[in-house]
Amino acid sequence: MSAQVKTKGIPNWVQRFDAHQRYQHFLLFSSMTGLFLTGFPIKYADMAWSKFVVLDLFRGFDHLFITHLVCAVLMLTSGVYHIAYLLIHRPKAAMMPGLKDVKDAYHHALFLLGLRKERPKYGRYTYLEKFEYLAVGYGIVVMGLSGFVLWFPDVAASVLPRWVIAMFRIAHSNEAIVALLAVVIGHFFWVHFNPDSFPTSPVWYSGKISKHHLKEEHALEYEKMVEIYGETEELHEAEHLPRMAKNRIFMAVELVIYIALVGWIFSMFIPKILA
Amino acid sequence: MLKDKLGKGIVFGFTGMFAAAFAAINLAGIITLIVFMFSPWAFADDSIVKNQQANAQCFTCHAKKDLSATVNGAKVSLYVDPVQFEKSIHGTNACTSCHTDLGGVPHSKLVYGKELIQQVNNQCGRCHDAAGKSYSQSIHGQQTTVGNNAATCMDCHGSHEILKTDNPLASVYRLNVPATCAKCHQGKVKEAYDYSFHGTSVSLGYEKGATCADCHGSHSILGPADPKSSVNKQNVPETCAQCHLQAQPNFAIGNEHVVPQDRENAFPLWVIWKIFICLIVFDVLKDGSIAIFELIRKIRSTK
Repeated sequence: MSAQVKTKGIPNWVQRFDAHQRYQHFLLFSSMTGLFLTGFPIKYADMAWSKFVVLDLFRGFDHLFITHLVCAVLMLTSGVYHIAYLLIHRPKAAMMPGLKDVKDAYHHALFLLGLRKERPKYGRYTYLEKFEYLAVGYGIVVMGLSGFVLWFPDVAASVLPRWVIAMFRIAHSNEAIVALLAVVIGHFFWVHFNPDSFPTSPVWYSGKISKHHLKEEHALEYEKMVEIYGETEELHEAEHLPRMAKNRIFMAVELVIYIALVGWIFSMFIPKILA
Repeated sequence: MLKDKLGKGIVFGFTGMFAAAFAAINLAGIITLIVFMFSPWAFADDSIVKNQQANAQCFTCHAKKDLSATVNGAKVSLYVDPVQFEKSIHGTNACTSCHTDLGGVPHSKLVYGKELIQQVNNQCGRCHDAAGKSYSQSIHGQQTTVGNNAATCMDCHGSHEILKTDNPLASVYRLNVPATCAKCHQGKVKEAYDYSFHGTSVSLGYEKGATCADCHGSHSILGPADPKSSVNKQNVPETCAQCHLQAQPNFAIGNEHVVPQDRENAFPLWVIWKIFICLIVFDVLKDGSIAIFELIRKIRSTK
């Protein structure tokens, strides 16, 4: 502690999210976990694991279904909370995408293909984070709207014909997969499985991001902070590096798992596009 | 004086009559109670014992697992599981209450196969009056009467193993209804029902989920073209409102029993299904390839 106070410049841990944002995230991920757990057994009812979840874990469909509805309300609450937060706190519109994000995406693609040596310099939020943020908004609207139609079909039928209600069901059941994959493959890679974050980035519970991570992932934000805090002493790299950041075996294992996972999902869904 | 006496007499008369009537009603009540409490039991016991004695005779042959006959060159098993039969709701009935016209042993007058089914089917209505009448007017009953293959009582309820509707082992228990109907109604209809929320929830043990019979009816089942049918487009809103509270005319607009893969009959569903499958693949293409290339990049740049 004392060392941190004496050090001139950016603190080792930088506050990134305030308590409200962390509560919103907690509400969102806990309700989504519940929704996935209680929703997929309905979609894949003929699978053995569905029967296990419904009959053994929840002791009957009634309990499973009421849990789904409660979690749905909680998820919508997180959305309402967020809108209220935006209206009251009026944070800077750093989440809004712009032309720079298109350039960043292109730049990042070149970097990943080895055609460019440097990573793009991101601001407070990367183009992927912005995309994810908007995708969550879209997802909550689609799932919430279709969910209500399925929850109250007789009310929905006062405006919608039967076949449109059926369309909402297809949307609900497939958008669930979109959301699950976005979380597990996209989101979890950056915040959990990425060797620089493994096993988890602390930002979701402490709200803080390490100086090292900030410099790597949000270079523009870091440079801004240097202007505010003044010259910053470099930390001993080893002191700050996450445990797996230099472990090539770990990365190779993850690579194999990711390739297998992506291959498996493609083998399931690409035939459905062609069918 | 006279008036007084008369008055007293009338009063006494009323009281007396009231007391007498009260006693008579009480007595009648007690007698009725005795009659209803004991006599039918004694009576039933008697017939149950008689039936069981008679059935024991049948089972001397029919409890043998290898009992069979050759009909038109095919081997037909004549075995009846006595334990299962006695557990069934008809376990205390006489075999001959359904198998009429056996004509002594050996059963010379006996009919086989379809004819036997017809013959027994005609017996159910003798006790099950209301169900029998509804059934004979239903599409199943109409078709059976003209000799076509359609569900008889036994196809849904079973034969020697019939159980009450509220018994979870019964073929007509709520959760078993879809499987029972699917003995005949297979293909698209069954596939689409299994895909629907009704079918999914019932298969996961949801007692409130709609089974086939909730929309189509059971004994009085009619084809959708029949204006009296519960699944005729005119009647669909009311049928849905049995569970979904408001009878919306919109409930009838759209095809029922379709899956999104069915482009011909469910084009809007097919379109939205394709859109979301593309979205799923896009999702994995974007996030999966970024993760994979990030890992490759990190492996190559780590020393």
